[in-house]
Amino acid sequence: MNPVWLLLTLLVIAAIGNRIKRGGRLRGFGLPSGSESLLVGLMLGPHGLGLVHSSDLQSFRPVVLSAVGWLAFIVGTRLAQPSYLQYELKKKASSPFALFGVLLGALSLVAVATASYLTLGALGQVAQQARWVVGGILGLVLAGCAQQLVDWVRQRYGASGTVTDALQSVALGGGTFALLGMAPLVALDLGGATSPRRILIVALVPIVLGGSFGLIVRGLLRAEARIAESWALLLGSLLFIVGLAQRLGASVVTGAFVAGWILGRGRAPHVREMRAMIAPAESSVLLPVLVIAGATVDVDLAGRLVAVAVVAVAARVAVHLLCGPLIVGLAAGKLGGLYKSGLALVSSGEVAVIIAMAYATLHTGRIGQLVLLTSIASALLGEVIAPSALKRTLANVGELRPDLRSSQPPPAPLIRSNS
Amino acid sequence: MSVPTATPPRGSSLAWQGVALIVCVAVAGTAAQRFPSSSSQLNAIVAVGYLLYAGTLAANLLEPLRLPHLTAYILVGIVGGPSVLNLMDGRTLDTLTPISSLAISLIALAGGLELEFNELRRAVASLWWTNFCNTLLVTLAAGGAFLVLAPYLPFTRGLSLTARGAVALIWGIIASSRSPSATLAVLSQTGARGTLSRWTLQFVMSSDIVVVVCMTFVLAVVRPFLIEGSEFSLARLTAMAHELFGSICLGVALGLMLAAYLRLGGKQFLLLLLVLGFVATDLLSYVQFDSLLAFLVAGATVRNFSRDSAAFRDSVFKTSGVVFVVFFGVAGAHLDLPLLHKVWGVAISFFIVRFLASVLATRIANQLAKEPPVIKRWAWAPLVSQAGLTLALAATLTREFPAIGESLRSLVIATVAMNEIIGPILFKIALDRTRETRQKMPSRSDLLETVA
Repeated sequence: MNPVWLLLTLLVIAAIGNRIKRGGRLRGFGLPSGSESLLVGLMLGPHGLGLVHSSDLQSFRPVVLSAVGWLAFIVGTRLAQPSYLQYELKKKASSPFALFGVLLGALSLVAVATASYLTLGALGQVAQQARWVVGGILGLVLAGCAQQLVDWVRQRYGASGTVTDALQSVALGGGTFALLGMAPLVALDLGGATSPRRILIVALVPIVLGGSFGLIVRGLLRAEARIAESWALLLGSLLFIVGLAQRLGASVVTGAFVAGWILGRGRAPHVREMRAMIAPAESSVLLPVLVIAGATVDVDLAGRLVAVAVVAVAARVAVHLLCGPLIVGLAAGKLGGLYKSGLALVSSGEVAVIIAMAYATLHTGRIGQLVLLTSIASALLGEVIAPSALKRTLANVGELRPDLRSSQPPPAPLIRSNS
Repeated sequence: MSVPTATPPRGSSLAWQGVALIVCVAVAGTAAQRFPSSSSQLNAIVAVGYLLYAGTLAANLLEPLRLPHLTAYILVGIVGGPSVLNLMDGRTLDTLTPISSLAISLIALAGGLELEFNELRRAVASLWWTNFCNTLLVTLAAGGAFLVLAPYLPFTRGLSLTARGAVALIWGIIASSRSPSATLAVLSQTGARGTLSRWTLQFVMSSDIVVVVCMTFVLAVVRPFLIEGSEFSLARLTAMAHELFGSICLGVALGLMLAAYLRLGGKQFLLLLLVLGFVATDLLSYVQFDSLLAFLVAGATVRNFSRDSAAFRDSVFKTSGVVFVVFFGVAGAHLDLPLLHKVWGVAISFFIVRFLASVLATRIANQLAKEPPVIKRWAWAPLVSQAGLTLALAATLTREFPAIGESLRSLVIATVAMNEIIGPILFKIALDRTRETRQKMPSRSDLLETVA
């Protein structure tokens, strides 16, 4: 099938899914982390109807890279929002949960990378120097937690309170760690040694690109109030950053994330307007990316490396089971009865799929498929385990208010839209 | 359409925009020279980013000079194109073809959405006289100029006088074509409303059909003079009639479907426009129908048969703003500057002849149709632009007459380059002078109010 037609078919399917999930009377019908889009993709892919194949990802490259760049940009704007900064730095200076998210991500990275390295060694299918690189990438992909899951429990069960906020911050911290961590990691060559100078340069490229263009566009948006021009400036600068980062061999998602962070900071009117402008475009982009991710993953292509995905996901779950109760306990001010709360953090969420898609799009073949497969496996496992665990945890600390679910909008500062 | 509230940036912000543009062009130039990309697909990301970003900044910088945005987009495209920075090489530009398809469908839809049957009925006499005078006089003048300048055109030296006359006729028809895309882009940017805007839209859209019909007829007639052994055949005319009739029927069907979708409360306009732009264009191309005409008819059908067309119009208007930047940027990158440099003398001569013939033809037509003073004074201004339609006609020549088609096409490209740059400027000046442009456009702050 013509790749453009195929892509549009996937977009239409994702839009219908989005409509069912968020629209009208069926609001909240969708799965907690948005994994129904992944499942739809899997149904369309090589293991389902066979409409899409992993090789089609090659044709979708420009669109997918632009989309993951956009999503990383939105994550950046979210993190930069004053409510989060104030929460972390002023109101709750003694409990910096975003920092805990970073630490959790780092621990997860170490565990997953080590487990993957050992499994790859046992399988003997990847050269020794590449094992740490693959392990590191898998570790970063799985470093974050599902932001959407927290949004879901807020929307559907009216969750609010210290623990809910803390979990949201943990998710953001982990996502930030993963997105920034990709900067040096993409410099590592699977085929051989890479000089530290090159790693440093490649790591700095997206930060400099995203930072400088973010600052410039911030200044431009202050003066430019027209909608069409604002969109053109935002999209143009983002695609420019994404395209240049890709061309220079640097991390696409890091550049976009940094630009979003710079642009989203503060409470100035033009920043608030920009947030309102881009808000409706989040789910419109995320769901198609999830559908494409599900549709282009090919377990057969990954071959025996599937074992690595299983081990990586298991290692991540183990780390979260150990650390989760500590984080929730700190937020709730008690530790008793929360030993299962680590399960609430098991879902790796959208950042994992974004990073995996960015990597798999540029690294076609077994390793790219392994990374994509791992992110999807983790997301689906999280979908099964995490929602009930999260509900139970929040119920234990008295933060669930089901009676508020229909009237209370999600407290996430980004203004969400159904369109 | 949204309530207009925002004014263009002024003063010190322009300096900031100038700096931003210089940084962007410098980074793009460095990337193109020092880090060439082997993948045209991936290069397309940087190219679109550059066109959107630099195009918007350049348009803002040219606003104090009252130049239309699309002139800036074209200039930015020229700078990024193969002739200057080579950020977008030929393969990358080919990769961006789907965006051009999307743009053409949006242009035609937007044009159709502005056409009301009641107004068209009242304008029949005006459209008839303007089309008749313009097609006849411009064709004769441009064709005559071609015959006079033929000694300076190497590819005509081996041709007999009859063959030269045949090529001159083709040249004349090409000269009488206008640019729906440039017209729509200027109207979209300025939000112009009024007598001149309405007249221009009606004429340019109808002239598109007239030129396509005339060109098909002329090609059938001159074929025996340019290709040995070929004969005059009515089959081409039949095929053209089939194409026109089919395009109109499919356009009506598409329009009715869109009207039904709107009636059922359909949203997701962006996705709808993407599907229309890519899928419907491909389908129309597969059945060899004219997508521009089909979308134009679809838009007009929605406008006249749907009570819910306002939201759809608004969406097309908003989406087209961003798409136009890329479309005209790509058009600018396609312009062959070295070729224009080679044949600039001939190109300027053709430009002047066509310009004078258009002014004269429009004046005569306006007198015959008893147009209002504003039309009599300014109706020539929108008729200078040429762009995609003209280039499409030129591409047809390459296929039809391989011996001379390529040379003729190069000449068309060189002439179009001048018309494409100067035409929109003249149109914008006319809209400004007739006070049909709006200085205020939809603002971001409206979004906050909507959400609140």
